[in-house]
Amino acid sequence: MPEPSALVDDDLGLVRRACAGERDAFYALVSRYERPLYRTALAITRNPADAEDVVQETFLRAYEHLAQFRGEAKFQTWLTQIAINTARMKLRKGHGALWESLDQPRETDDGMMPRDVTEWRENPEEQFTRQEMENLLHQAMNGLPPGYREVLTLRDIQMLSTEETAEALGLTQANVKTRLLRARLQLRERLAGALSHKRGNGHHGL
Amino acid sequence: MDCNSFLDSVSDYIDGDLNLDVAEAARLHAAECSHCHIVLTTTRQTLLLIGSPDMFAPPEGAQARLRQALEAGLGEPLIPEQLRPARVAVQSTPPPPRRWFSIPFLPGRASALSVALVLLVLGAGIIRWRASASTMSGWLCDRHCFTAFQGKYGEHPRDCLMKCADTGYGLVDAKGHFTPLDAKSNATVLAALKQSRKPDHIWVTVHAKMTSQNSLAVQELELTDPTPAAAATSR
Repeated sequence: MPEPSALVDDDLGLVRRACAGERDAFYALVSRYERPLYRTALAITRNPADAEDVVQETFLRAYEHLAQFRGEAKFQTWLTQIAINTARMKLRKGHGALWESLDQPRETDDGMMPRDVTEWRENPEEQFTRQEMENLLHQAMNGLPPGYREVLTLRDIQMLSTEETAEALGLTQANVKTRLLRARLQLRERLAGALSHKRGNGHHGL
Repeated sequence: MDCNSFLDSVSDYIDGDLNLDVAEAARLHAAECSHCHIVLTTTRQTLLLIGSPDMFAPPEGAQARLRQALEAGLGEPLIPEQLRPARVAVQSTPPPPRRWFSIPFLPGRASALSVALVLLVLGAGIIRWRASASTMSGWLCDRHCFTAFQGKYGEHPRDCLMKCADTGYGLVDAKGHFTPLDAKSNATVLAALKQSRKPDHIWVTVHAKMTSQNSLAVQELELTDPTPAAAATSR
């Protein structure tokens, strides 16, 4: 009976075919998830070259262990778990520690309380080139504590559910929600300087 | 609602995760408090920006490099163990040899001989079983219901089970593995179900062969009550 999300079923079908030796089925899964995995890897490693390596390793490891995927979780969650572990390992081995220490002092306050509260330009994406905007977001994201950044990436960029995010990161759902709230507010604060309407303060929110 | 509680719930408010009363209180607060209204709208803008598909795309050439790395690294396609016939046939040990073990009264030489005989018969049995069909039991369902009824296959109602024929039946064995049936077996199962009046807890024992497409070709089939072992894995 075709009940739950068709996409989930489709993934399972592809996994099964890939298990039976159909390379194309595996490549179909690669095409489907390379972008979201890259974003997750980038959120952890904060370095495009490392993120690319992580994605490659993730798919190689996934292929090797494909038979262990039982279909209990969504395939994307399972893949994301592998990517997170791979990225964290890379960070430990590489220069990640240095980056963390540089960022640490700016991260200590929990930053919940909004300070910069002015309205933003209506369409900020029109004020910046795509690249400028990406740099801005990248910088703002990188200032978040790693634990917040991971949750934010899975929930608001990969669009996983709270439950799936909790599963992928080994957190409770309550924990995911708390981190997400803080991550969103902190990110908002970090972007406010660049995006807010500095001219006048004419608008009131009703 | 005051500003602090609004801030505490702004994330859930955006996600629509608040219960109706709290959500309404949050909405009213944001309508009255310009400060919180701005926090709400700019947080939403933040999410729109980072969620945009244009952002954080892999660098140029990454797609090709990934495929190159995979081509070099994937090696031979894997046929995972769970898909090999020997592992799928969970409950397929041939029952007759058990009787041989119930002859403990024979004197030394004779028992040694019987052990040898047992081994011979068992060996022959296993070889024959690998080469031909085997008997196995499990729950029936299609792929959708395999996920939807996980852990409660017994509750899978007959009506739904009949419709599963459209997508294709599979057998869920005691370990929770799903093995699809081939097209002909699919029709056999549907015919058997039409004759049965059982509303749920439909358990099947089949005598089947593994096809080259890793699906089961059923030769004989019997709808029964689940075994106690099955009840342990899925009610």
